[in-house]
Amino acid sequence: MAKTMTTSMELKIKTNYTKVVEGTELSTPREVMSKVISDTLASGELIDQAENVWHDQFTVPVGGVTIDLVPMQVDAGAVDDVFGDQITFDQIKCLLIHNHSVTSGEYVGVFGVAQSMEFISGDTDTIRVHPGGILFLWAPGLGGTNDCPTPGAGANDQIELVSGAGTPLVDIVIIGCE
Amino acid sequence: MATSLASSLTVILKTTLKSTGVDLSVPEDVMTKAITDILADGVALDQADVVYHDKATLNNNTRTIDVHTSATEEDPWGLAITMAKIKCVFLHNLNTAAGEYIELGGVANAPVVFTSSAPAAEFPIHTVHPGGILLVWNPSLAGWAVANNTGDVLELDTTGSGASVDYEIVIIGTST
Repeated sequence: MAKTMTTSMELKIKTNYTKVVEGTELSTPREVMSKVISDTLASGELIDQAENVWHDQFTVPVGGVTIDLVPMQVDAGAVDDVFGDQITFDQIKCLLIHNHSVTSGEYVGVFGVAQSMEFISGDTDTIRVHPGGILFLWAPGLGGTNDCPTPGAGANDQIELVSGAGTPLVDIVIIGCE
Repeated sequence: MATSLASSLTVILKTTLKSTGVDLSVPEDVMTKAITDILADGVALDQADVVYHDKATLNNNTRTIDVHTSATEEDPWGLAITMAKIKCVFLHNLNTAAGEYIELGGVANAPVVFTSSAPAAEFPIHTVHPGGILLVWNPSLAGWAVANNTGDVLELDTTGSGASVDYEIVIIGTST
């Protein structure tokens, strides 16, 4: 089935840092940092493009959930896009993981297996998305020039999620090209 | 000198996926994932009280940012950075040319934002590609712990790409 996709991203980080200075009772010096980034991906397989998305919400057990990208599977079961077509990512332009848990200790460890998608360097390296935490990767470059993760079947195409405790609820969004 | 920090984050990600194979309609799936969060002033859950931000160029070199009792890094008020916990790391690669990436990590005495089960031999490295962003947000009480001299250095490195990379970095944390 032929498809087209457009993607937009907006990220804002703002800090308002005030200080109390003796002798300045009539004012409050402050430093405001506002970082705003907007970006879009057109439909396609090139730089600044993407053509498919997989998104889901589920709980992560201590035993873990294994997501394969080539082709898309969750715990070895095939998953399709919303139109029922198999997804086989070969470039990843965006990864978002959001841990909805508010319980201390219910972090989600991400990656940490030999077949991990390119995110951090070592087979045993992980990042923990803690309760209320976010992991956001944006890589609009072209896979052919190694400017975004390029998963390969059986090699570097897995995203492993493992709970530190309990069953935290996570949202996950994967945007890429096939 | 008393300071007070208020931090906010908004992430909005939207995809519109359309099928073009149906003659009399255009089936589409619109996904909008919006996250907003704030950190009040303090050192507890959902709080932070120290921020460091910078925009710089790293030309085929490395740069270390010591976030605990730093002798070289200062906050916007000129106070030495002293973080005990990290709540947010944001890194944006402003370059757009192919191959001009910047790496974060790769040193033994890094805070445990990235973990390794073999920390004595393997220092995790994350690559931010041209136009790329890394954002990690951790509002928990514990944050990512910073340990003086053994876990307080965030290293940036462009020697792998050999490029001169413009970047922006924001680190939010707590003083105790």
